[in-house]
Amino acid sequence: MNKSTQTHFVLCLVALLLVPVTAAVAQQADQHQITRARIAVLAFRGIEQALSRWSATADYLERTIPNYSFEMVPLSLEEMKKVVTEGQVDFVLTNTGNYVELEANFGITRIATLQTPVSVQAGNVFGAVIFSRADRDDIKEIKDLAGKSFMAIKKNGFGGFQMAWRELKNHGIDPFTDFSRLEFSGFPQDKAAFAVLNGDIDAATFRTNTLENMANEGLIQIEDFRILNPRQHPGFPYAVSTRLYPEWPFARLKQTDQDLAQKVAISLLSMARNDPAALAGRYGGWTVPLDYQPVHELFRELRIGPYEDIGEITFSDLFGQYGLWLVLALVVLIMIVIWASWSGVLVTRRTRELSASNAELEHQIVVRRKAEEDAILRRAELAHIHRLNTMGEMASGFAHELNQPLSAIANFAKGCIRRINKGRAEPAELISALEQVAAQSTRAGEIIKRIRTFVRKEEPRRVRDDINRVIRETLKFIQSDADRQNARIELDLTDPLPEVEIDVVQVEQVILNLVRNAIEAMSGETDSPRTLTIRTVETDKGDIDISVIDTGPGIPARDLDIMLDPFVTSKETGLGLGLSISRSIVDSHGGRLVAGNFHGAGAIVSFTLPVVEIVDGENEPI
Amino acid sequence: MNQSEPVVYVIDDDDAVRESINWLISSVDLEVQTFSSAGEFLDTCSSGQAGCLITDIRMPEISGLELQDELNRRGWDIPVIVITGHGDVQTAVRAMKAGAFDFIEKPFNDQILLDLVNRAVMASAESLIEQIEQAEVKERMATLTPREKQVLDMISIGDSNKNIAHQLGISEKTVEVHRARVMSKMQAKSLAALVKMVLSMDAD
Repeated sequence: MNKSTQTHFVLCLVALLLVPVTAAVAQQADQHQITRARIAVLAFRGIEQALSRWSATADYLERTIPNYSFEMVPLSLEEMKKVVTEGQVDFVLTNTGNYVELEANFGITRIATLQTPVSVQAGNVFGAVIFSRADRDDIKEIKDLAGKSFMAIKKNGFGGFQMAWRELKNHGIDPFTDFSRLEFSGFPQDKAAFAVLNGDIDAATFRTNTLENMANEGLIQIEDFRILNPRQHPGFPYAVSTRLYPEWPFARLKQTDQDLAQKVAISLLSMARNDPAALAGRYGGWTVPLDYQPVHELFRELRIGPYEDIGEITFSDLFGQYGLWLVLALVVLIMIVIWASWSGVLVTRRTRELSASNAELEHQIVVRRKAEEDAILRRAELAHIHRLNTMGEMASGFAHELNQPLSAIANFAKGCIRRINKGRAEPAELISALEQVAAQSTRAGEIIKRIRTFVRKEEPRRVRDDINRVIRETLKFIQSDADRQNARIELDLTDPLPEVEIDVVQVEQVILNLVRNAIEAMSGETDSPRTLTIRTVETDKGDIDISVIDTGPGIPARDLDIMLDPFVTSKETGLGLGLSISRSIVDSHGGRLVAGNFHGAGAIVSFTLPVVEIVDGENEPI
Repeated sequence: MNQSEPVVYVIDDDDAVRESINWLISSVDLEVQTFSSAGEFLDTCSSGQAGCLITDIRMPEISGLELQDELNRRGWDIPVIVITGHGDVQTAVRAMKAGAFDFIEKPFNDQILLDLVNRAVMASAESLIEQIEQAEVKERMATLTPREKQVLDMISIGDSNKNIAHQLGISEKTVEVHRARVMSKMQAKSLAALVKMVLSMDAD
């Protein structure tokens, strides 16, 4: 392939690859627009019946919630459990008993409760009715049912059996052992009513409003039936033998999108009673989710559903079934009690110990803080003593420095007096001389002020400053000493430099100390020039490096390690504290002081100072 | 060699001190010249001027002591007053040994300095006059004939005319003629004056 055909080929390939990609992107966009939501619905009367009843509700949700499509998935009780376990659906619409079981086992949450179609006060609850034929004189109440035949709808039906079971049990009748016959009719429930009428069965149960519906449809006469143990519930219009339980809930799964669940809840709650969906579903809209606690109580009592293995148990029940385990459990319980009390003791003791050690810790913190403050003060104290000592050693230098302005003042003044005495004083001349007097007194005052500042005992205080300025200022102290020793001081300063945050007096002390050491180191030199260089540079790490380099004999290798230690000195006079104090001052500024030899000729002592970060705000004393 | 007015040279690296000394000394009608370093002074001035030198002992480059040494080497016989700082007695002693006229400790009493300066200037002037006289004697002596020189040497050690005549193998009369010529050439008014001249030459 030549180059152009090659390019063409590549372009075609790219185009070919792009086609399915763009298609997929488009499809994805469509999918993004419409999200499918699946609602598992209990098909207790077959799939078709369920679909015809609930499809309109799915349509209603689709109509009211944009960008979502809703699909009803009709399922049996067993299938319902499976799809919820596997998270194949987003919502569950099932009977009350099933809901409570799924809620207990899989954490599904009700978002709305179904309302019965008729406009009644208690339209979102239902119960079951237990009935026999009105002409049966031998059956007047529930307890008369012992030994009789009984029909329910489904064994695991909530309204179709379990509600009645609870009442039977409360009246001492175990439906599985105390009936001559227990039958389950299945749907339609009508069969149970007809079986009772026909005399096929002595008594039956199904959910409330079934009899009324059948009567309304003209299938039966209510009067033909006797309602066993009828109950009165405020606002509940139907014949009922049991407690009332909340209607079917509409529930979301744990993993269902919160936003979607909220939209569905709002949509269901705002459904009108006469909405086509409600009419098709034969219900009267939706209400805020009810308390399903009574259902739990029922299950617990019957030891079914989520409570199948625990239930409410009597001691004899328990002992009969789990005698050995009970003993073991008791032993374990006693051990737990003992352990718990012992733990209590331990916990109390440990708590006491902990609060004691906590107090100890706080005490230690206080002690440590105190120690740190003490250390700072001690360092400042030592530095101060050292400064005094330094000033003492430099006294003759200062005397000389002070002598200069003082001599000048004396000479100017006497010269004036002599001229005046001779009567040939020129006022202009005198004024000029007197101005010199004033200037020299100021000069003397500044020297004294500088010495005072240096020896004054002050709280350590940090301010931002230019290290070059500090160096130049410090040299005023030492210049006369350097002159006397015939040492020349050269400045090799990088200018400008970023500011450093320092205790000026302490850093002056470090510089002074290093310069004095260097001058002294060179005092033995007779042949080579005595030159001392002070160099400042900004390092790569953003520190300022200050070096004092001399042309003396350098530092003997054996001294390099110990020279920074306190009380180590090569001088006949002095405390040997200079370098050690200098190092501690530099350390406290976050820098480092090192000493070495400079290219084999003379010594170099350097220290670093960190550059101030650019932040606004007051300089705080440390 | 005939500049009459003595000059006080002041060398100090400290401007204020230097100018204040100038101001003080000039109040007693002495001429003052100031220099900020010894080097500057050495480059500018030469010997032959009456006066004195006031220098600070501590100065960069050339110190007061080094200046003294340099003057000695150059044979410049000028009185040097060294100004020392407090406690610099040892240095002052070294300066004196090196030939300094005197030293004065800073800060000084003005009268003491002025007295010192006066003494130094006078000493300088005397020394200078002496130098001039010697030079003149030397000049006159150079005009003497060998025989006259012989006669002068013998007169100055106190020999009599008779003794000189005997030693030189000449007549007493001839000795007297030589003697008169020596007195005349040396411009000596008396025998004593003549002897003094010879002695001053010997001392040199």
